[in-house]
Amino acid sequence: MRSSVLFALFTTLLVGAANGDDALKPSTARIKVIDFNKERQWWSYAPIYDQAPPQVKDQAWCKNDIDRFILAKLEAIGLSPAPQADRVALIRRAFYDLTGLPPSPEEVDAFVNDSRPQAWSELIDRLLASPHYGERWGRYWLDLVRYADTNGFERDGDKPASWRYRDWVIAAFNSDKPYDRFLTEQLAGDELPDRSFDTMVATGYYRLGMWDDEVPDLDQALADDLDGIVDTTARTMLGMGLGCARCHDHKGDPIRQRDYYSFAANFAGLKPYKAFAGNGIEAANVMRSISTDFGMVDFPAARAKWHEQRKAIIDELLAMESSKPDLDRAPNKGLMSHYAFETKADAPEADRAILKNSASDANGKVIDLGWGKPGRFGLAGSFDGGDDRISIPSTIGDDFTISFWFKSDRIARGTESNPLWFTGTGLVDGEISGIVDDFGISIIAGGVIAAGVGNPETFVHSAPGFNDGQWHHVAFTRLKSSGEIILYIDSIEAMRAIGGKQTLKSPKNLVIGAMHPGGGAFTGMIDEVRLYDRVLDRTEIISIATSVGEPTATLASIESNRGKEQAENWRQSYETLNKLEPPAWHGTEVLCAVERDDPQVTHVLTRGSPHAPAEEVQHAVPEIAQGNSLSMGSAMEVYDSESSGRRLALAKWITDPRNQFTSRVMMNRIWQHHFDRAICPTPNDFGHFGETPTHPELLDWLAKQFVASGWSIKQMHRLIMMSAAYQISSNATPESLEKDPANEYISRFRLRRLQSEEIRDSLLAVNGSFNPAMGGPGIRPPMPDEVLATSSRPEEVWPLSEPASWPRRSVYIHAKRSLQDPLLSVFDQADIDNPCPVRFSTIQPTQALTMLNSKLTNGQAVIFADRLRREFPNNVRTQIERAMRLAYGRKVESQEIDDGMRFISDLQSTESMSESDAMNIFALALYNSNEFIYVD
Amino acid sequence: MSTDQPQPTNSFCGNTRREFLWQAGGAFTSVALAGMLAKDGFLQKQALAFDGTTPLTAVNPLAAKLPHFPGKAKSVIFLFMYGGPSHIDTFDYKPDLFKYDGQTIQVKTKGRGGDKSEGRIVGPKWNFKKHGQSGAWVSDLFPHLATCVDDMAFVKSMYAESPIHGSAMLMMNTGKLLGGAPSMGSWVNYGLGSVNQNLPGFVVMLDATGGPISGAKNWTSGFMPALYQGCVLRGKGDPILDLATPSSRSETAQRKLLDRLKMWNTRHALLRSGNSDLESRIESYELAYRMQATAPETIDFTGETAETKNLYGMDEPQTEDFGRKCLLARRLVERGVRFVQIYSGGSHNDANWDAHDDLKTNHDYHAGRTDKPIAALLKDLKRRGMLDDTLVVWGGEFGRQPTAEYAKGTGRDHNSWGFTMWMAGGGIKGGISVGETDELGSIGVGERFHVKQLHATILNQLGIDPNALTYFYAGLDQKLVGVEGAQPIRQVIA
Repeated sequence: MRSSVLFALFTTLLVGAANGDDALKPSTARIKVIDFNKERQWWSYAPIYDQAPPQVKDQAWCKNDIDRFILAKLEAIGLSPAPQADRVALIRRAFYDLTGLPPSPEEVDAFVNDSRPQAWSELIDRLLASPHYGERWGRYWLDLVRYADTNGFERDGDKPASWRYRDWVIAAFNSDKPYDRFLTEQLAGDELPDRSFDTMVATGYYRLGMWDDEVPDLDQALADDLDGIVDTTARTMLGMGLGCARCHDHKGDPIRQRDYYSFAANFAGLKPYKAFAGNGIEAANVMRSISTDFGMVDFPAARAKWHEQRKAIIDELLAMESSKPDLDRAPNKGLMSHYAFETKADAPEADRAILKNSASDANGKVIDLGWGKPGRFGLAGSFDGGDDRISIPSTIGDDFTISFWFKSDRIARGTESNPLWFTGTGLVDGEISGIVDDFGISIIAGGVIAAGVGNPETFVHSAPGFNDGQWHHVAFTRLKSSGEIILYIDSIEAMRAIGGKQTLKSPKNLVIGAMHPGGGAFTGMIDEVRLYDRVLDRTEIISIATSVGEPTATLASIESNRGKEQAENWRQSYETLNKLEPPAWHGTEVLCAVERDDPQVTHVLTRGSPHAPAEEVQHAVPEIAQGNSLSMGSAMEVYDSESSGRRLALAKWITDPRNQFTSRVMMNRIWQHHFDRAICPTPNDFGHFGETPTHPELLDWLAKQFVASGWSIKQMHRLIMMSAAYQISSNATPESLEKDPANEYISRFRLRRLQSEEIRDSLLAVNGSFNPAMGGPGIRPPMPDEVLATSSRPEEVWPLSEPASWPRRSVYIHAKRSLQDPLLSVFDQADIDNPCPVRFSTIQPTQALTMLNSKLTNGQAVIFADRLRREFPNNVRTQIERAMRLAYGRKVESQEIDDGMRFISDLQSTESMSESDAMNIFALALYNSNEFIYVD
Repeated sequence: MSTDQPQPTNSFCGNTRREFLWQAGGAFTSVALAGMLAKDGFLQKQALAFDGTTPLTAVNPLAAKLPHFPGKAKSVIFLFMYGGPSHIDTFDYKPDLFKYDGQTIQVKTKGRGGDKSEGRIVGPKWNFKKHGQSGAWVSDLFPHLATCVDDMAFVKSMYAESPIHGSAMLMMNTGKLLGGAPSMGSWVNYGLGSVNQNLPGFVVMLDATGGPISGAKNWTSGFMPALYQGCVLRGKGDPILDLATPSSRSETAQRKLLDRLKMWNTRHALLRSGNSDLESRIESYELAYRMQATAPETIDFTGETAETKNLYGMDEPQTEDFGRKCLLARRLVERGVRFVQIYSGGSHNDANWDAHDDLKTNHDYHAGRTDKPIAALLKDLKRRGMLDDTLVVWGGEFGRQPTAEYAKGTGRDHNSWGFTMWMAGGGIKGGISVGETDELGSIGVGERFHVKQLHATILNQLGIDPNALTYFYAGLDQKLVGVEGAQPIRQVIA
């Protein structure tokens, strides 16, 4: 619909027709009448009920409660489950299900010969502990969230560092990150109190969609990008086809168009990819530079060590001069304003409204502030990132020094790689929009302290990492006669620059704890803000920052009191102090959520058109999903100034144990990938357009188990795999085929074809060339010339990665929208542009052609045969046996080896082939065999 | 050549729908029946081919299906002039433009260079003459095509939603500005299947300089299974990727390999009763083998006379490449391939019709390489009686502006507000022209035709109701023409 609306609009808007189309005018939308009480009877809108496992006749068959649910249905239609699968089938099933790789013959033998009752559960535990588990199960998630490494369209350019998100997903599965936390980090990893580098990477979730950097209609493109997020989130996490309500009320489900837009409003704070003249990506909108140490131990430890060393020297200096630490030695000469924040929390309201300026009569106007917390000296001001800020009269403008202390552990706004002070979070700021005579100091993403003066715009900044939760001293000086500005952090000069020489009189007021024009609210503490009308020299700044005395006087005093040697010791320590630089912070560019200052207002869009906004909506969740005493409502938590907190509130609602969608939807997916068919066969749509579950009671029971386990996916694997139902044979009896033709009742196990990645990975695993290296930028193994020729830039489109990387797992192949690996594609790899809940599993002659004739399979077959020749030189019989064992896992009968021998010798005699060439063909045949490609 | 005749069935054989759906089988049915089933149930939506009965795990979900109604066309040859040929220098005669050459005048345009409200007119660089009984205007760029105008229907008020290559290519090929939707050929493949199981139903031939922008996205099957996607065919060497047995292996060795495989697979299947997928996969190898044996015959031109090859210009270096592709297209259509797309131009800039700098050089080059072969294709199809049921479509993703893009030179920027495409054969009226642009050719005026209406026309000629060809995905009955639908261009239908 939206396209046709668009072209109607296109004509009107762009061509400039005089009369507006009706489609342009906000219409009074017909509101769908919904009987919510009735709708909440629908299985997926109903709460999760406590389901007692049903009674069954054949108690002995049941290994756990899952089996009671399965068996009860089978008994009702007069069927018995298939017998237990043999042990070779079981280990192969377990290996492929959990790791996507085949077991080695040795692993098969060990399991087959292990008759201990716990052998099966130990196998499961071992596979769950394998790092290959995350690669296998992470892939399912990547299918759902339409993971891609490029943006599509003309340039199909790389998404910067998108692979970190892929690695995060794999690591999350491997570490059994609780599913509620797994979702929360993706939705709101930047809004969490305990955020870290990894949780920031998780928000790369928002950047996976396609993006045209040369859009014909920017509003439409932004709406489409947001739609990708809304639709993917609703389908993936809630099993809800919310995207259907983009243009009109949902045709089948109790979802109004309004619900779509109020859900979309949860994401309205996100900055989108941005088009600009250069047809590229504006990194500041979608990327941040964050230390890999962020939120982890290493960097704070190094910082702490630096603080310790510094403190030791300072203590030593102070001891030699018989002074005390924590003495505020700020000079009074030229002091125009001083805000000391010495107001107690229980001070009368009147005292709080005016912040006393101890240096003059000028008072600060307090908008809001946290009082009475211990500061660097006495008490300090505490800023919560909300409205907290203080407006103070600017008493400087010619020569000046701004001196203050701050402490924060937040990332802050802006971009570390381009730290312009006015893009940051305000410390002491007087910024005025435009090229005017202003100045200010802020903190930028990554803990960079930035400062600058206007007209001409002149900037200085520090190294990153000062958001380490420690007190730091900032001094910013400006000399009018030369225009020179200098920034000192902890009395060490960070940077100097030459700016204008005029009086900087634009800001009448300065703002403490936010940006002067608004926004950029600071979270943390600020203390002892001083404005001087002169440039303090280095020694004065050292005295403020360290409480150490001014050197000339101090040296003279020490020399006269304690002698020359002590004075020299003091001088040397003073030098050391001046040179003790803080440990460097190594920022890493991360593709992640970045929020606007103010979330955009969200409107219902008439017929989905961004050019036809109608009623305004508030952020919320769909009305049908509220209730059960669980409502997102006004439960918004604004955590700090860097974002609106809407996504965190949404994440809390989605992961609330009472939310009946979240646990059912994920549990259904876990089941799906064990049985190759989900309980509800439409895993992304639990609504009226989807299929109904075959075992709704079991799904509810499992969902409850899932939440009770602390959302542990690995525990759910164990639970499912320990059931008898998981361990039955895939062999069908006539009765089973007759009474359960589609195998909905699980009367037998579902034989399945390996998925595309499993096929490629198995070729590598079996021939021994498999490289198990994990993570990192996408690999580019060789691509057939014929495929490269389909690109508009055949020469440049696919620069090969280093050869050692080629035999790595398929999940690491660079996911490029305009160029797909032919083997993966022909075996039904997920389409990269769309969420994929269920892979197709087709059987096609072109698959046979690829497996028989491609360079890839033929090359891998030679490597396979080479391995056999290397391991068993001059022994064709053993080579054949080993080849079949590697491919199938099971033991090989001597008759099969005889057959293989005849095949080899026949090729040698009738085709005049060398033994080695014949063995290559034998290996290729194994790769093509059904026994290799199918799992029982 | 093996041809399967479609045989309609319309019963569930007494089974419940669900049982029926999960039974393996290759029964053919009609799209009408599929339409009847379209509202019902997930399994045939996601796990079955378009006919609503053939499981995707069966060997031939691409088996031929009956259309909604008897179509005039059995096949489509889409000649994609990638980059956007200038309509006002080819078929859309604007005498005023010659007059205004070099003058800066008020005219709204939107292209790669953004929105403009005035510009320097570039007069057409070729003269126009009337041709044929219909008196159609054709510029000197196309002396050969000019002799075919009485078989051609021009649509001169085409418009698209984007004047930018990336999204406009997706629009022309998939009906959407965003990636992820199936291409037109995939829809046809899905809707009608192929009458020749030894050849792909949807074939794409690319320029030697490379594919178009977005590469495979232009012939993708999008959210449909990959088996419906376009198959890239080469006129020389191994026509289809991995069709040929590697040169190191003889055909008899290949057969021995297949026999060995069949033996193993048969034994494997015998031990696993009731799993029809295994038999399907065995069969798929035999089908692959037949493809290997028969498909190369298609690109073997030894049966073609010198007269025919010369007609296509295969005896001249300039036209050899495109002539070969056009002749190949005819041979593919003869063998039952439903949808053939040939790209004129590839890569970027002047390697295709994207004449931003020197219009004259660019269009002389590309027209010179394609004019004679395309005219030959029309004539050859006609003399063989094939034009009646072969729909030929010509055009790019958009046209070009009447004004110069830069201060100097003759280059024109993109124009999606009005441009020309033409169709011939397959039940299209010859010798007519519908729609028009304003006196400068800057925008369609009067009745304008959206790209989706071109799509609707193509489907209609194949016997498919464009508004009933649906595929259930993401909660919607998706259509090539969009969920709101589009009407065919009735004026050009015979």
